[in-house]
Amino acid sequence: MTNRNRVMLIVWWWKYGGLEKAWDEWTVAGYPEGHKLIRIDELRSSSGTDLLRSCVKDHLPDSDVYVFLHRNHGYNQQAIEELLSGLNDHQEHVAQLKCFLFGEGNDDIYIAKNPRGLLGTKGTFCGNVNANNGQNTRVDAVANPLENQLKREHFDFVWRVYSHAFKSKVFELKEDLLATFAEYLTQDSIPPGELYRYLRGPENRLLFLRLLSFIGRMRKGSDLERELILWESKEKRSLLFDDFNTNLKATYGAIEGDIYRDLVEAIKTHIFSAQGIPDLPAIRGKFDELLNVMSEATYN
Amino acid sequence: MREILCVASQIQVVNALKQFFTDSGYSFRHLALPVQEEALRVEGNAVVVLMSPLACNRKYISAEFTWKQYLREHLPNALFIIAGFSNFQQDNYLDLLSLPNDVPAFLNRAEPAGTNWNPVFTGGLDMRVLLARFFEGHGDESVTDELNGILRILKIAGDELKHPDVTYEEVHRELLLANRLPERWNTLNNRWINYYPNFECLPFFSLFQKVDLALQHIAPYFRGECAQEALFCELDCILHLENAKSDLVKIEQLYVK
Repeated sequence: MTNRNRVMLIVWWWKYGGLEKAWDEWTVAGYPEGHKLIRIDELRSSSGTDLLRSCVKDHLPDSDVYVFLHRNHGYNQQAIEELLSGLNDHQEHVAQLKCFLFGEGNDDIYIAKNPRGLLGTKGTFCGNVNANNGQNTRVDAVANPLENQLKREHFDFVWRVYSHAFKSKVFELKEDLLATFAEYLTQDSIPPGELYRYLRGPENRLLFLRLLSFIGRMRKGSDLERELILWESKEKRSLLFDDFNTNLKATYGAIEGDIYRDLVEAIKTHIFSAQGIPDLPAIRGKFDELLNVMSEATYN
Repeated sequence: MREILCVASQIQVVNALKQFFTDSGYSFRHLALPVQEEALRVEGNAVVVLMSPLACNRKYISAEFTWKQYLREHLPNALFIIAGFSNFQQDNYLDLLSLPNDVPAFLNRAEPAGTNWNPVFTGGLDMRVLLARFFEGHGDESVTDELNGILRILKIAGDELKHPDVTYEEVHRELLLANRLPERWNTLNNRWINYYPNFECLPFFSLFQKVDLALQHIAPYFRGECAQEALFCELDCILHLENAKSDLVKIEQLYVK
């Protein structure tokens, strides 16, 4: 761990859970005060973005900052771009900033999804976890409500999960994609267009939607996006790549952005094109290039 | 001819591996998750093919090192093949995107599980790290730390209750609640829920299942805030926690240390 503080800035329905100001701060038991979670409950607007940007600027010089933006508050990839574009005077620290879109109870930040999560029910840090024996267990991420203090293990866990979030999503897409096409592995050759035909089968619908999102062919607010969000809810994991491209360039750099574009082209050529020759090793190679430049471990 | 035992969770991969091996005349058996340890009680010259990383508990887990350790102990003559979509070249690695034409020759080159070689790491959630965190975890993550702490307090309570002049109410108030036992149980339970499903891909998952059953058995006592002496006795809380502890110690000594 570095000497820098860790700050999470979370936009969510905190007013239901007692937030009475524009924002407040929660420290973490056992850590210096610089490690903190900031609660904000502002719908997407110019004043909301200004508030977020101001909080980020205050903390970036000495902290790694993760911003979690609730989709149902109106945030999307464009909102992330707006936030990042206002940080030009903090370019030397912008690699220490990551922005995540979340929502619908499907991400690891939710206690219902993950017993070490932070977000409970109705704007609180407290929620139920369904154990494997069918019993509900009450989980509270608060260490001391009087001092606005969170439990260390919840803060650490969420931080660790999101430190790896982008890489694990890419890794899972690669593995799922190659596993889906496994029946072609023992064939000598695959006819042009065959992988796309197979991908469009109803049993492969989820992979098809994830690939559309990954290669940037899913419009914000479209039926396809809504369908993928429903899948997220069913699968209880984050599947949309709407925050990926912007973050990749901001967090990793231009070279990584180029590698991502090459991978997108490979997927379009070898899977989505009717004339393209299917080439799974080529796609694997491009995935590996991208995963190799994302230096963190795949999972926490 | 050797029998192929294939540990994989995605049906398309299982079908591909089945075709690959049966086309060359091998018999093939799929071991689904959770792996039943009895299924691994086979002749020593079997081939264990582990798909890695394995899709398990909504993530991809790389458990090849832990499997190697287990097979070295229990099936040292078996060939251990790691299959996957990584671009590795190793005698015990089967690259599914570059399948060998001569399966017997490929298997002849592979080393048995009992010899000294290291598997390739396939890039998923590293089971070695997960197990280390489960057992040690610097206090914030460790399940065993919390379990040992609860057991110690329960044992003191058990000893206290042997004195005829000590009532359960006193022990409950002055020992169990004073040491926040219901809260500590919640912590233990939360940690357990967090780890347990990840262990389904391990060959010794049955030991974790035993621990899970023990914890479920005594849970009603803790859910009642440890207030009922009858549950403390009837559920045999100390014995079940001791059994859970001894199963965990066994796992740690055999496969983690």
